[in-house]
Amino acid sequence: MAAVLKVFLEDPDQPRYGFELMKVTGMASGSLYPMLAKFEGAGWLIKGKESIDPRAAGRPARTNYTITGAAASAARIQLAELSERFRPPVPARLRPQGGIA
Amino acid sequence: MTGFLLAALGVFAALGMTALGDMVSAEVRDRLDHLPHAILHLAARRLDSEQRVTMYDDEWMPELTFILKGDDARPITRLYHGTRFALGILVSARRIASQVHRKVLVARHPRFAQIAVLSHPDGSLTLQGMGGLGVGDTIKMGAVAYDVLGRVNEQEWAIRKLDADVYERMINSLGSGARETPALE
Repeated sequence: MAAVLKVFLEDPDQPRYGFELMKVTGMASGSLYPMLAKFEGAGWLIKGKESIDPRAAGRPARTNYTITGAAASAARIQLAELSERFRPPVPARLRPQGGIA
Repeated sequence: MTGFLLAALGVFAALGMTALGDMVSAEVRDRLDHLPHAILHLAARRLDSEQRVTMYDDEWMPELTFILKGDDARPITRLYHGTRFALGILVSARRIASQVHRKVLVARHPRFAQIAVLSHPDGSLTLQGMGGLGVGDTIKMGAVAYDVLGRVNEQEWAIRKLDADVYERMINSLGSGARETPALE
């Protein structure tokens, strides 16, 4: 989930396509598409259509997804918090012990 | 003379075999191109007629066509990517359908956004009011719940344990919208 959100956050205005997301995240369509449907149902993603001429391209226009402004803000904060939580602890700074040189 | 005839026959046989090989190759290539579409068509049969238009016709099929006709689509690569894409969709078709169905329900009954569907280890499903809904609210939603549970069983709707952490936190941040509880597994 975090990987998919990360791709959307790289450029929130950029519409993303299913196969493109599969390639970038390495996810299978069986995992990705239920997630996209869930995100869309929650109002985080908006569906759009690829702007091509199907006749000229020789194929139908694909559906794309764009993240909403509210979801982008929320996702940024939550991903940052998540990243902070899983950050390895910083080792205590070593100081020389007092003693006789 | 016999040697000449044998040589000529050999040449003809070789040409014939090459032509036959090409035809078989073209036939196999053509049939294999249909394989991902056939798998995706099977996935579409798991949807109702309305979802078939919104998901199969508008989304899956154009994406698969793009994969099979893409710039970097060499025969083996496109077969691999196309089949992998279609098989994934086939496996998860009902799960995707349930998500889409939930969206429709929320649009039809906005308060449904505050109901969680709990799936229990024994496979049963129950509804639970979320966000401080009281008994009165739950009773008011009785008709909706009845409808939902009926459809839930139809669609084998079980909210699975996804990355509940990020999901819940985002939901809370957004303040409203769909809210789900992960499965009690």
